[in-house]
Amino acid sequence: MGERLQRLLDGAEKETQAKIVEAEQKAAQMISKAKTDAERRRTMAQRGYGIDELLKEAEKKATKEAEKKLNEYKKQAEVVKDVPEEKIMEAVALVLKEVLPQ
Amino acid sequence: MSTKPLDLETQLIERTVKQRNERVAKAEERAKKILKSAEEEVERIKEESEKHILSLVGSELRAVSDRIVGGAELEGRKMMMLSRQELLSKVFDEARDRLTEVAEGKDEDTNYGGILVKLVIEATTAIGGEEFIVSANEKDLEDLKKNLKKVNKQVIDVLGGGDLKLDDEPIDVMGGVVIRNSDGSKTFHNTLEGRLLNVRKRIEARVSKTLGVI
Repeated sequence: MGERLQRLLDGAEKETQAKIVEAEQKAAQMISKAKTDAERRRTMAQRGYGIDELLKEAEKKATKEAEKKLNEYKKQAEVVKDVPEEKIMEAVALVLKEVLPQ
Repeated sequence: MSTKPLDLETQLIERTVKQRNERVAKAEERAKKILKSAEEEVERIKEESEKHILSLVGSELRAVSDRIVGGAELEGRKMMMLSRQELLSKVFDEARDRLTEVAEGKDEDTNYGGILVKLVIEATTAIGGEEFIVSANEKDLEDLKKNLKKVNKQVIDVLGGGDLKLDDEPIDVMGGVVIRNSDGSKTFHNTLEGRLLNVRKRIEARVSKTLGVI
């Protein structure tokens, strides 16, 4: 009986060791793959390849910013169009004063 | 009351199974931590790599941004410039209409006769000399003809001499005069439209400021 229980515990020990070794191996593989990928992407970027995604992202971001800027200008242009009549008359008076000899 | 051997055996089995399960659970926990830590390391490597790549291709990314944002900036400024020009044209068109009214004598608040004399004096002063030939539109020529002596006297008062002659042929202008000396070597355009044009070039910024669109 005692022996069987000890075998159970020994089996568990082996099982746990295996789980940890497996996890360590998987972790090492993940890190190694990430390092290899990173190195590959860096090398490609240095040669100007594989940056399409970054360029697309930059383009998307810039397009948004451009739209925002254009909208701001449109608002300002609307303000210019909505100058009150009395301001226009004031400006006309200034022009007439300059054109006609005093 | 004593514990039966069978109970003891059951207890021992239960304890051992529990021990076994605890060890397995602990190992699973450790394995999870190892993987989690690896995932974090992978993320860090990716981030570092992205940063490095960004620094390598930064100029290309900036060029993309400059092209798109710069284009919008340019378009926006053009839009603003057109709006301002439209507004300024409205002002100067209105001024032109008002000047036409003044020249036609429809503006009761303005003494156009006096203005015409000032335009003549200004032009003769600019040219200098003794004899001047004055061109104007039909209406202004008639007014000047009627008041020629008076106008001539005012020119003499200012220049200390001078003789005005009217060109019989009317010119197509809104108002004002074109004056040349007797040999035609000097001409001074002092028409209302000419002055309006000069004023526009000179005071557009002031007009914009008055309109509050600078």
